[in-house]
Amino acid sequence: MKIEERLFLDRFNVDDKNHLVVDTSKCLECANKPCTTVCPVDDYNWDNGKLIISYEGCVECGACEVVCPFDKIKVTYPPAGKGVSFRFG
Amino acid sequence: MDAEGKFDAIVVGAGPAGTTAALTMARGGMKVALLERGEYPGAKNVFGGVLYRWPLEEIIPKFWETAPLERQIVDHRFMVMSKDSGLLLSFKVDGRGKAPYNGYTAIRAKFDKWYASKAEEAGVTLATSAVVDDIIMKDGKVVGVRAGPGIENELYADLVIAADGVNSGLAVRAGLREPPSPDQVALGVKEVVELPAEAIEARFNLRKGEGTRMETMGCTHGKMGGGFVYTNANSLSVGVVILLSHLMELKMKPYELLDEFKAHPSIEPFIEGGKAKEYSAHLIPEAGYKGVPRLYRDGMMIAGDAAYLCSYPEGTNLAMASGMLAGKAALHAKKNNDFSAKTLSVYHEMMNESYVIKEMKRKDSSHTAMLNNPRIFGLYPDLINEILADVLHVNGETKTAKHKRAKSKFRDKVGLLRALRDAYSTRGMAP
Ligand SMILES: Cc1cc2nc3c(=O)[nH]c(=O)nc-3n(C[C@H](O)[C@H](O)[C@H](O)COP(=O)(O)OP(=O)(O)OC[C@H]3O[C@@H](n4cnc5c(N)ncnc54)[C@H](O)[C@@H]3O)c2cc1C
Ligand code: SF4
Ligand code: SF4
Repeated sequence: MKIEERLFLDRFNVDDKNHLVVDTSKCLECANKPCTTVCPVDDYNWDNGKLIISYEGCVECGACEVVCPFDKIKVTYPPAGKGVSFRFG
Repeated sequence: MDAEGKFDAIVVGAGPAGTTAALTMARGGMKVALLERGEYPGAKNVFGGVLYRWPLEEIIPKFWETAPLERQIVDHRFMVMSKDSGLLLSFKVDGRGKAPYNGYTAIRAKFDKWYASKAEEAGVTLATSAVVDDIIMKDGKVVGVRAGPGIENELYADLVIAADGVNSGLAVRAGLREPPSPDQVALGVKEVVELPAEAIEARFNLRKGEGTRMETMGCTHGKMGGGFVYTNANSLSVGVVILLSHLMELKMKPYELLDEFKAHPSIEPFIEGGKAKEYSAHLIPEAGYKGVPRLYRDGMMIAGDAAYLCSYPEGTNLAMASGMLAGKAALHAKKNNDFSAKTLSVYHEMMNESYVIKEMKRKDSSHTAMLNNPRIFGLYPDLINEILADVLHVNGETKTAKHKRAKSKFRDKVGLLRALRDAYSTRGMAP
């Protein structure tokens, strides 16, 4: 199943501010770019020598922050009532 | 709350750990605020999963009569899979007239909400959509929390209990723990697949209301992890769990592993025709006893996943048990009107005597062994399936020849002594 179809299933109240705080100064040096493979919703994409970050489908798991070898990702929590709300979980 | 509007204790996180701690303290007469960042308790939470009767029964006797539960687990299944085959073991008990059961499947968004409402009934003040950003320190002591900018978002109390889950920003800020490293946590991805109750009962050979939990291994490309299928009332919870450092090595997307799992010939017939209802992901502490941090400091304690107290698939029970002991330690501190680390150390003492720490120690014995052993999650499952496929295939070749081939395959690929060593070193993995 495509990730877009999957995310269509979930309930989001998207904030207008990106809660993923990423400093991309080390990304060129980063060999495997693990944020682009571990994120369960494909919020990180390497495109033309640049890290493209979306945050809309973020399910707030925190994996990207844990895997960044340069400690450049901080997953802050979306403010009150924003972000994902699981109906099952 | 005293005259200045101060709470005795603030609990951060209305998951199983935090709600239990809050409930325990409120019943003992403390004024407790329970702060939850989700729109409702459970909104941000994910598990397999099975709720065990212990220790919830001690906290809410006969909870099964009122809690939103899905099915009573009477069937425990374990599957060892290769790419296209699977060996399934089912341990089934006679559930007729045997309620209460040992475990129930549950939906966290429903259960956590219900459980927090029990804490409210006991007098806890629950605030949802309350994102705690930081702890407030004074003279080396934790004195409150901050939930946004400005003093209007500061909340003070004698005690803060951080039950904010595996990513626990608060335990880290309090200096009790480091942020997780990729080999200390696993990532779980999960789908809820809707199916009519009758279809679930027919496919899993269950009576009405009975349920199956199924754990599988061999679906993670040799990496540490596994798959699961749990039966809910009208849906299945289907997921894959993999150690985060191993997922990084594998360079596969987590949902690709989930898609492979769902398409596996031994899994697909269970979910066929079902409608996907939700996709979720969550981290799971996998650090064993070694990873368990210091549990308290002046004015603060940590419980549940925040303290890495998880021994997958057991987690909610350990969270509740630690929350309960943290609550008891708080009552002891309240009685002595002293919330210093010295007084709160009773939490540590009670934990050491508890099932929680004993289970974490058991888990520890196998964790390192499994981390560095590619045989467990790849070679063995494949070999078992390969040998069975060969032996069960009737084609005119004698059974004797096939048994001989099986033995030599086993000898060449593993060896008896190594197999024994592996079996011993992974004993902590046994159910
Ligand atoms: C895929 C998967 C399968 C699992 N299967 C099982 C199973 O079958 N059985 C089982 O017993 N366990 C299972 N577990 C483990 C179990 O889910 C956890 O161990 C358990 O939920 C831990 O409870 P907790 O209260 O410590 O943390 P959580 O349940 O994570 O609760 C933490 C709470 O804190 C809130 N929070 C976090 N930060 C803040 C903040 N800054 N401000 C305010 N609120 C905050 C969160 O929103 C959340 O409500 C599974 C876990 C996963 C991921
Ligand atoms: S893992 Fe960190 S350094 Fe590497 S590409 Fe992603 S953000 Fe950049
Ligand atoms: S928190 Fe999880 S879902 Fe959100 S961007 Fe990071 S890895 Fe992706």
